[in-house]
Amino acid sequence: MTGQVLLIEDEPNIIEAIKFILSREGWQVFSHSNGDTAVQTVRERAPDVVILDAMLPGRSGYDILRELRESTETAALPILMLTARGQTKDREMAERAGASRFMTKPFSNAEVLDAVRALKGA
Amino acid sequence: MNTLNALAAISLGYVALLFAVAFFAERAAQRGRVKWLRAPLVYTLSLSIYCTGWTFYGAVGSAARSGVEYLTIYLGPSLVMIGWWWILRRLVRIGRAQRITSVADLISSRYGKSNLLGVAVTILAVVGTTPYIALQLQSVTLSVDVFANIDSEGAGASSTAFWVAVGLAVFTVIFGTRTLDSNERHHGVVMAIALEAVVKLAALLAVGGFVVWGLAGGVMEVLARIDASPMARWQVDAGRWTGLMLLSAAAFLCLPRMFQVLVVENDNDRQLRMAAWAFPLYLMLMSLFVVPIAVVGMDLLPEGANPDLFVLTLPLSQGREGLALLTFLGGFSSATSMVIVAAIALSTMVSNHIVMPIWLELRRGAASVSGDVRQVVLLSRRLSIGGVLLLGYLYYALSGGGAALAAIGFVAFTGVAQVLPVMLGGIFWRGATRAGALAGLTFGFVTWLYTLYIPSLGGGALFPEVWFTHGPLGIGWLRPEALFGVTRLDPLLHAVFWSLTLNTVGFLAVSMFTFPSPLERLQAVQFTTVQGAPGGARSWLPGAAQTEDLMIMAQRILGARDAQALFRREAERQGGEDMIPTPTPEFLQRLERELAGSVGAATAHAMVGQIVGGLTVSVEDLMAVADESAQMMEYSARLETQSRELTRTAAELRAANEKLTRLSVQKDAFLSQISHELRTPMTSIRAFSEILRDTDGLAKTDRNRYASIIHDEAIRLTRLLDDLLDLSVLESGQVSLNLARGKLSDVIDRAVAAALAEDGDRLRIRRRSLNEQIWLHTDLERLSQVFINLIANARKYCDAAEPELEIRVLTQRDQMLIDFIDNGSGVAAEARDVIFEKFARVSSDQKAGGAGLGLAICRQIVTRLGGDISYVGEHGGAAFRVVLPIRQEMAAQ
Amino acid sequence: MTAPGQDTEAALAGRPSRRARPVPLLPEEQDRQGFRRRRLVDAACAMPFFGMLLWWLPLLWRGTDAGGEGITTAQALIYIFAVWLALPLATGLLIRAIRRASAPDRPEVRP
Repeated sequence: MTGQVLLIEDEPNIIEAIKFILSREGWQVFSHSNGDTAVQTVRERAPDVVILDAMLPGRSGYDILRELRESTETAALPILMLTARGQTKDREMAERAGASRFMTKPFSNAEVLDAVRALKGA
Repeated sequence: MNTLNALAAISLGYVALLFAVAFFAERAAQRGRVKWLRAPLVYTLSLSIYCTGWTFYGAVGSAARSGVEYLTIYLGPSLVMIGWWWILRRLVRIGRAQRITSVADLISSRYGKSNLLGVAVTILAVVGTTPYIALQLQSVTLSVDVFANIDSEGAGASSTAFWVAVGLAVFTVIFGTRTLDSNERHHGVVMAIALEAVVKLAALLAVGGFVVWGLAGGVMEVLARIDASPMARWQVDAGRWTGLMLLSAAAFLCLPRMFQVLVVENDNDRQLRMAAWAFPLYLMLMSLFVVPIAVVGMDLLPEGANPDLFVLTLPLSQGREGLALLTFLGGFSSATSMVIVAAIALSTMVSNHIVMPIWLELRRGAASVSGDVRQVVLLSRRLSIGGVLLLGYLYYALSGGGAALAAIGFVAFTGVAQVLPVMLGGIFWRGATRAGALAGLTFGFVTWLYTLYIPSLGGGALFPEVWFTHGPLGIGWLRPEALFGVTRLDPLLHAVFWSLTLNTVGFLAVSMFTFPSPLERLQAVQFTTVQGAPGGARSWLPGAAQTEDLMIMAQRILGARDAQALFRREAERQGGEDMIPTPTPEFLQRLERELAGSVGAATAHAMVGQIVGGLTVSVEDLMAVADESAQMMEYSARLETQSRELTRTAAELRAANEKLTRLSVQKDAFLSQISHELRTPMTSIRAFSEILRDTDGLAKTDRNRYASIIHDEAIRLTRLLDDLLDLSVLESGQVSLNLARGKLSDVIDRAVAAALAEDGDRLRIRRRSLNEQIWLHTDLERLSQVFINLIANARKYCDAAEPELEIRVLTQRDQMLIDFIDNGSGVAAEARDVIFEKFARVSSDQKAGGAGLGLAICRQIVTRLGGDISYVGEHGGAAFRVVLPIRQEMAAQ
Repeated sequence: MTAPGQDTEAALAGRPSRRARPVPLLPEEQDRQGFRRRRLVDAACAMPFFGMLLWWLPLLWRGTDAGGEGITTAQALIYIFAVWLALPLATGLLIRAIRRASAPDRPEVRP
């Protein structure tokens, strides 16, 4: 079970790590690092799963998430939210904004893989 | 040519002479030649308006009817003048010092400048004076009638009063309201009435001389005639003798016209010193021939002849028309001078206490010019004069003259005498209050109206006849002429007794139970303590006693510490040993200036003047006033300070609260930030270390690359932790400085090199190394750290297309300024006061790469180095200024 | 405040005062003058009461009863007018005396 994953993240090292982990299992991974143009990229690529960082230059991940959920074509899109701030407040915000899953950095590689798989399967 | 026409011509000529005298006196006064206008003799003669037409003609009538009783109304004033030291001297000085313009003004200003009292006295004066003016008009009319009867034409006499009133109004308006003198002195009028005084005395003496030596044949013969006449038997009513003497003395002081000439027109004590003995002599001469004329008149003239006109008819009956004419002029003078002065006095009162307050009330809010008001005052004076004379004329016309008027003299005396208790209380008794004065005046006025004035209008005029026999509503003790059951008393004395008694009792009682306002107390002190007042002859040799008084006063106003310091300073300046300076003019001037700062210049001047000059106010009273004002000032100052402090504290609290709120938000943001900053490198480290662990057969290049990522991220973590530690060490003050000598230019070189190591070519640095040749003795490493931070910030945040940073060094006395100015858009205004706070990060821009600790660390370092760092980029790009002290020995090199 | 002391010294040493000015009155002289002035003022203050008393006196007199003993109006008038002449003149003299007494600066005799 593979598919397309869009990774919206601004930290180059993390992009490289996630790309490596997922593509090793056959996933096709695109990355995008600008918050302002993220929504547009999601529409154009129409990925199976989106991995979205909460803190992006230009626009916050929660904002992007909220906009995606408001639009019908992306309302049901599986989105995995990543955040480096491991506070409860952040988890609640992510859930309210409509994240399918939420994960705190740092994560284990297996965790990411499992989560992407589960989201694609659902 | 008939007599009446001749009389009219002569009268007009006389009036023209009066006009001329008044005119030249006014002109002389305007030219400043006032010395002879102020001659004591002129003053003394002007007092003669006390002898009106009523007394000129009426005294003989009174003597013919009721014997020597007429003397009392001259004896009373004589005693007042002889006793000038007691009341008049004081009154005149108060009048001059306080610029009193009328009786009403005296009472009003004594009792705290109460206009209500002014109005009350004015009304009393108008009511009391109007019949009196009518009486004068009647006396002129009667005397004209005498001449008219000779021609047996007998017509047109009734219009005399009217034309006399009009003429007097014109004269009074012209000379009484010519100018608005702040002293209310009328030189022209005073001069004219002085002349009239001479005329009337001359007339009476001439008639008297004619009667004694011409008709009776000598002094002894006249005395014999007296003893042969109906009044030969010595018989005086002790009650009326005493009562009328006191009444006339009281009226002498209180009559508005007498107050006008006695007090208002008074210029100096010299005038009073002469009048004190000369005026009683004048009065004596005026009354000397009254009894002889009466006795001879009764002998020679037919039964039923009006004794009030003996003075005129006696010469006429003997064919002495010239003498009669002189007498006529004397009577005319008496009447007119009284009316003129009364009109001036009343118009001043009516204008100042009734018209002007109403006008000002109506004009409230409208901008008024002083010239404007001046015209209004003059107009209101003129209208008041017209009004007063019109009232007098109407009273005369309506009462129809005759006997009813003759009795009015004493009625009016009693009315105006109601002012006496309040006046004497005001100048002698400090405890007299406004409420007391009002009560006394009201009681006196009402009692006077009830027991004398209204009954005098004739039984049944206003009260039903039955009131006099059984009292109103059958209440016997309220009978107007037998109040409280006191019967068998002469109605006049009854009224005098009750009105003045109730007046005085009310005044004393209410004064005792009310408390005066501060202004009243101040005025009371000024009025009751005139220099040289009995018992007040304290010596005031310049010296310690006086200075101590000044000291006590100054302490109360300035506070003990400041006052003592001031006095000590002055004593030193004067070269004295102790702290008691001599009250030299210089010292007093300085003291006055000091006090003026607290209480105002006028008050300060008055206070100092009064202590030093020993003038109007006793020290004790000044203390009371000073205490009060000091307390008030202190209280209001305290309130002001408190409210200012409260406002300031509130503002500070608000600012602090805002700052706290901002800091709290920042702290939350920082915790997230620090978490983010820590977790991000950790994420990479964990991910790649797992990859390295779990993935077999990685290419060597990949493995190396991943390992180096882990390494870099670990370093990033370390740096972050270093920063945090650094800051916490700096903040706790445990940092030890590594002091060394170095050049500023070297430090900046190193910092620039370190900060721009990564992309040095993007940010251009502009320096003037000539200015940087300064030797430093400081922790060079730490200073370099600050510079690196500032340069790195410019590199990171400067948003100009071609970023540029200018490093400017400036030496200022004992400090140097190092400015870092870039050409970007600078720090947003709202962020400027938080950028030096810990964890403050102006933008969430990732490329900043730090946790917002840099500037906080810089500030800590610079503070440790004894300097200061601040944001100075008010306009233009971001600008940071580092200020460092220059040690003296360093600057020397 | 040292000037009077110097003057006293000069007087004690028998030297003439250098400045030409009226010789200041000795304290006792000053005192005597003040005393005299105060007594004159007292007299002036008493005048009206004195006058009142004199003019009240006629109230006590009995009139003549048809040629009997007593006083006639003419006599009474002479008395009243005599008082009236005397009182103001006395007052005038007193005022003059008070003025003289309170102007000690003017030396009566010039040396």
